Formats: sequence, C-alpha cells, structure tokens
Amino acid sequence: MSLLEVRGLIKHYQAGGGFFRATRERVRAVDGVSLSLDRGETLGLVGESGCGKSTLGKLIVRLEEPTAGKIFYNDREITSLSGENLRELRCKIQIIFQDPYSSLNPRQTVGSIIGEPLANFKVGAKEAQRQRVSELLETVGLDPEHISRYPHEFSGGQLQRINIARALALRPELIVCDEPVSSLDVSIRVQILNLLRELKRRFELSYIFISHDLAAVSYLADRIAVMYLGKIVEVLPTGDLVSGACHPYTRVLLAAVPVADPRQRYNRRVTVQGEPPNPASPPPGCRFHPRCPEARQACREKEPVLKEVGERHLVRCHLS
Amino acid sequence: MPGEPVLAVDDLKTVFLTRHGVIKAVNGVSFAVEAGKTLGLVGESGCGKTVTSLSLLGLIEPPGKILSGEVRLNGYNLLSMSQKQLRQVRGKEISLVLQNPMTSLNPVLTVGTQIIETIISHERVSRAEARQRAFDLLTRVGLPYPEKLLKCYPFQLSGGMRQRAMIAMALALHPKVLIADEPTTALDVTVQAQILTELRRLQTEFNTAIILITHDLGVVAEMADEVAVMYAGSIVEYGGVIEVFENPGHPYTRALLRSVPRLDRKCETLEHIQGQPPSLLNIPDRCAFLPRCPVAVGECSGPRPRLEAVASKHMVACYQACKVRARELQPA
Repeated sequence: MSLLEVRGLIKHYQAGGGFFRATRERVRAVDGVSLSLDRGETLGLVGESGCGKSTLGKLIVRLEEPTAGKIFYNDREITSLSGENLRELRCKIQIIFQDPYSSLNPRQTVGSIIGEPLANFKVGAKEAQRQRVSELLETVGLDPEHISRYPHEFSGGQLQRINIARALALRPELIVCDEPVSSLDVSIRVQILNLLRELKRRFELSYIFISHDLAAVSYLADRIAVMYLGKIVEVLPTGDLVSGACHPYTRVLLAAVPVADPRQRYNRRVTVQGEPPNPASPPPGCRFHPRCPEARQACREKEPVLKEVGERHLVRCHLS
Repeated sequence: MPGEPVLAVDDLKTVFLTRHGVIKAVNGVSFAVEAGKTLGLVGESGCGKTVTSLSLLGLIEPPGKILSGEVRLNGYNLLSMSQKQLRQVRGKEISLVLQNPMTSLNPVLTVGTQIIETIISHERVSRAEARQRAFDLLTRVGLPYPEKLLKCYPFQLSGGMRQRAMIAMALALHPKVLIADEPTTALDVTVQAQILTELRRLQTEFNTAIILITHDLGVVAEMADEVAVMYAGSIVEYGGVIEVFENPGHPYTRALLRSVPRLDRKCETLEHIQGQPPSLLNIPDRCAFLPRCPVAVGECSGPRPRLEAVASKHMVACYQACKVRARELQPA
C-alpha cells in the first residue's frame, strides 16, 4: 500500500501579467504529475532549475493549491482538506527547505523555533515540551545547551540541523526535503545526508528528496523520478540509474555530472545543447525534443505517455 | 617542456582588520600557473579562495589589507603597482569571471556596450572595429544570434547565457591569465558541462592560463592540470591533478574525496568529517585541521606544518604525510 499517491497533479501560475501587459502567460510549473510513494521509501526527485520539482514538493505538503489533480495520503484524499483536518495532516507531513538561513526566524531562539510546533499542537505540558526540544537537539547532533541561542550564532550546517529538528518535532511520517544540502559545503553536505539516513532508519520515515544533484539523490533514494518542464519523464529504481536509464534526458543529465576522477575526463561528451525552454510555452510533442540528441519526426508531433518498460521503471519517450 | 609560469604568487598574506580581531583570510599562499594550463583552487566556503583571487587583482579594500607577498605577472609585481598601472593590467593581462554573472554585469548597459567599452578602454581601435570583435567573441563562446544579443540587457538573458557573455568579455583582450571564481556553481549541470567545454576550447585557442576556483571536486577533476587544496587560508596540498586525486597526502584532501557522493561508484555509507572549518579569526599558528583530523598525534600540535614535497610535483602540509612518505622512501 502506498503512503502517498499523486494523480494528474497540475499547477499553473499566472505570470508576466502586470498592469501594462495585455496578455498573461500561464506558467505550467507542474503539468500532470502522477506518482506514488511507499511507506518507508525515499523517492528522489531530480531535474534542472525551473522543472517544477519544488512546486511539486509544496503541492504535496499542501503549501500550494493545485490547479487540478488529486493527492492521496494513506488512501485518503487530502487535496482539499481545510481547517482542523488540514492541521492534523501537518503533523504527518513536514518539509525542509533549501536555505537554512531564511527558513528560520532570526529573532526566535532555537528552543522556541523547535518548540513552536509543539506549542501550536499543545503536545504535553510546558516542561515536557522543553524536554522534547532538548531531546530533538540531541537527535540531530546539536548540543542541548544551545537551546537559548539565536540562529545567527550557528553555521549553515547547524542551521539545517535545526530545520530538521523542527520538522521532526511532531513525529511526522513523511518529510519532503527540498534541496536540503545544496547550499552547504562539501564536508557538511555528507554530514547532513548521513543524518537524514540515520533519522529515516530510527523513526521509520519516508522521504521525498528533491535535488538537482543526481549523485546526492542516488545516495539517499530508493527510486528516482526525473522531471523535465513540469512532467515526469522517467521513474526508476536507484540501482538501475547508471546502467538502465532509458530516457535521453536522464542520460544527458548523467553524462553532465562531473566525475571526481581526472582519468575519466576525456570519456565525456556534451550531449545536449541549450537550456530548458520557458515553461510558459513548452514545445509541442515531446517537451525535450528541441534539445534531444535522438529526436525524430514523431517526437515533434505527438506527446509521449509514461509507460512501463521494466519492473518499477516508467519512461515517457517514443523511442523506448 | 615545462615552461616559465605566466603568473607566480609567492607567500601572499591578506588580512581583514575587524573590531573582533584580525581575520587571516589568506595566510601565506604560493602557487604558479603556466600558459595554457589550469590550476584548480579547491576548498570550502571561507577557506580564502576568493580573497586570494581578489588579492591577485589588487581588489582588496579596507578593512582588508595585503600584508605581504608577491604576484609576478610578466616579471612585474602586481602588488607594488599603482592603481593606474593596475587598470592597464586588469582585463588586458589578467581577467576575472565571477560566480554570479548578474551582479558582475552592469544591469543598465547592453551586453554589447559593455564588451565594446572593455575593448576600447584598452586598445586604440574604432568603435565599429570593437563592435565587430564583440560580435566574434559572442559567436566564439557559443551564443546564438550574436547580433541580437549585443543589444540585449543582462536581465534579458538566462543564467547560462550571461555567464557565456561574461566569459566573452573576460577573454575580449586575450588575457594571459583568467581567474574563474566558481564560474558554473549557479548553473544547471547540463549548462555547466557546456560552459566547461567552451572554457577548455577557448583556453586552447588563446593559450590562456586559468585559475579555476571551485568547491566541486568533480569540476576540478574535469578541468585542472594542477590542484591546490585550501583549508583555513592556507594551501594544504598542491600537486598534479592525477597525483592528488589518486594519492591524496593530506587527511583533509582524503576526507574531501571520500565524502563526495559519486555516480560511478556504488557505496553504502560515505564517511564524513566531524565538525566544521575553524573561524579565521585569530587562528593559532598550528595545523588548522588538527581539531577535525582523524590521524592527528601529539606532535601535530607543533607549529603550522609547511608544504613539503612528498613526490615530484606533489606537496603536502602535514607532519604525518611527510613521515609516512619518508618511511616509504627509506631502503628496507
């Protein structure tokens, strides 16, 4: 049974309007996404900037209202929950953002930041809450003595730990991690990735791990979904990523990741030109065709559907 | 044949005098680059890579101060030049590409105007000639419709296009040295791959020496001929790229290399370095990596280890690395 299921999710934004412009563009940030997440699974969501991966994350935690489509959590539809029901859902699904600096209030102490969800949901008495905050700090590898410090007294990596502690406070089942390590230094990145791994084991969490970094995603995820211009183009088990990726875009992404081995440098070719097109006016047919090294006539005319090509392996491409 | 270096930096020390004390951002750094070669300067944020590059160009402003050192380009010491002389050198002999092209391009001038101005301010050419050269440059860095782009403002371009325009401008006067400070960090991987390929092609064409500053070991492996690993304001390891990646001598380099998730190798658990880089404020004169070092012994708390050769063209600033290597060299 899947923990989370998304069906035909669409989010369009009105953009570029403004007072003086007659026509308004519709940015198709998420344009018909269906996917599911099993309990205890980590699903990696990769793609270039502007592909809609963060929007999808926000839709799942209900921070954005979808234009169309449905979201199910534990077989219960949560797409239009509101009021007390939505509040209840917040205990189950949490999110961690990319920038640890801007997602913490600089005028709150760490104790009150992590304790806020507890206070909001009236979990236990004051003293018990304080106890729980210390415990959370310890869980994420921070000194409980620092409970009354302010965010500016911590480094980026420590702030991200505070964000994680806050997300854990209400004992959620699913955490959406939106680029949690992208703004961190190399040596700190692995600390956080390892922490997320350990927490998953300890608290039986499920993650949706959003990142543009294929290598980081493949370190944590069980399955990887690749997004391009608002659509999922390939979903496959992490183990098959390097050898079994079918979609030309996935292969292009893989080829573009620099490998930390100087002897391999000349094995690499640039296989894609240009940058992703504007999501307000996606190309007709397959959205990747203008950049695709293998595009044919059919790719320009007809949009491919996501079809199963192997076990737990879906591809949206005419050629596979 | 190993040539004369075009740029040689010797014992550069740059400090920032703040209310809280002296920040030793660059603490005695020396390196050299040859024409047509790339030196990768790697390190985490705050290790002094950017301050090093700004020091080379004389762009350090109060409260920053270059305490000592020499930066020799063409036999001249850049650090003893006047501002007027430096203006002649910047752009013409040595130029800079920064991480965020949006902040380094002038938002109210067209791309064309900015490149043309760069050329006219250094060379006696007509505007039409400069314009033609700007056109050629934009074509060379792989930008489509150069004619149209010359009339565009930076905000009308995408991130990748801006960075290409920046590179075009930096190479407009065929400088001998190009400093590229995290040139692809803000870009998507596919665009990064394009820009790196472009940089390498232009480097061969103009025989430019590149100092590539980055935190990404993959990018270094891809681009550099030599690597200098910086930690807390000093170079802790310096050598040929294959030597450093395959036989890293410094525990920090080893840990960095081990902590990068890689696609070409399946690995269950990555090791991570405990703790975080030290504050550069009032750093004591000893090994800066000591508090995080997994192989530290008693003698490591002595004075700061200096770079010593452990192999030909491979230097490491670590007591342990030198000792291990010395033992290996001893005949049994």
